[in-house]
Amino acid sequence: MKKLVFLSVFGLMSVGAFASNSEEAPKLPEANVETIENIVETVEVKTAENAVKAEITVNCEDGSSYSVSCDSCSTAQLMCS
Amino acid sequence: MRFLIVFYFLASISVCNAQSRGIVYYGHIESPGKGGPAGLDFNAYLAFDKEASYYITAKDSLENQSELEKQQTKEVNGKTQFYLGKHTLPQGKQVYYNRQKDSLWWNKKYKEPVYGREKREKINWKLESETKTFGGLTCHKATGVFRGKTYTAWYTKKIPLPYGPWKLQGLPGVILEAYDEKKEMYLYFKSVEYPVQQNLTVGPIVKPKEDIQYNWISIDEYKDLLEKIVEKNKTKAILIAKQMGGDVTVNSGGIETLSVELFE
Repeated sequence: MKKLVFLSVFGLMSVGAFASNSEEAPKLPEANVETIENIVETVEVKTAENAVKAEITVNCEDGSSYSVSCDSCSTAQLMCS
Repeated sequence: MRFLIVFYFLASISVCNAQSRGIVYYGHIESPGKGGPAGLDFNAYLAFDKEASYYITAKDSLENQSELEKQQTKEVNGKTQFYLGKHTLPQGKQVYYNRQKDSLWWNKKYKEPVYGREKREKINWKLESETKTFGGLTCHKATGVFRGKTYTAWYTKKIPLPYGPWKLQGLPGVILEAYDEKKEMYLYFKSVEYPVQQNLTVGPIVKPKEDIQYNWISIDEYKDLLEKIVEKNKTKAILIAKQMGGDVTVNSGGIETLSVELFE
């Protein structure tokens, strides 16, 4: 008898679990989707800062300066000697 | 009685001297060839008494290096300025003016330290009626040409001494703010202490031990030196372009990018 009760309870739980998994996943609220998009934008801006897009003037310690223009060089490449 | 007269005489001399001592604090932005105030913003001050004035800027002890690092990139007139390395000196960039000798002594540094001395160049100031107040002191406007640039200066008659920041001088009162048309030399007012009661050191410029071998040069020698530096910088620009490689174009400028003082 005990076995029967145990098996029927176990059977019901399995059915319940299966039923809940088959439910359609809840949609994310729109606000959350926007936050993710903002994070992606920030990363893009940071990348743009490191790349020298237009003309840049480099001012050195010794008082000299020079202007550099290149399409895809980064500020880390700028030097004074 | 005699003692009292002598005491009164000495006291009045001391009071008169204290009355003519003062100090003005400025912000100093020097941006040769940049077309606007794109240079680093340094602290500066002008100390003066009846005989002389002493101006100093870009001095290590007057600056917070981390604050200067924040200015590493500046954008003015759509152009980006990038500052590499240290732009201050332990002894600062100084200008000392002695009225009796009617001469100025100054120092700066390119690759090597430079110490210069020159007779005061008279600026033909045009006094105008416009006024402005700085630190509670009424200032009058004046305009004048100095070494290739037209400067606007705001001077106060409340301090009737002919001094000013950097090499600007010769007005009927101390200059509290000055700038040229493009603000490539922009000396802006911060605060003033006048009269100053305590003792104040007003120059002269003392060379540090390591600079003893550098002689005081004339303004003509300075012009020649600038021309030589321009030539060296052209070669340097070619080398930098090679080192950076790729599609890089490097241009070094003329004298106007080295000095706000332009010579004919």
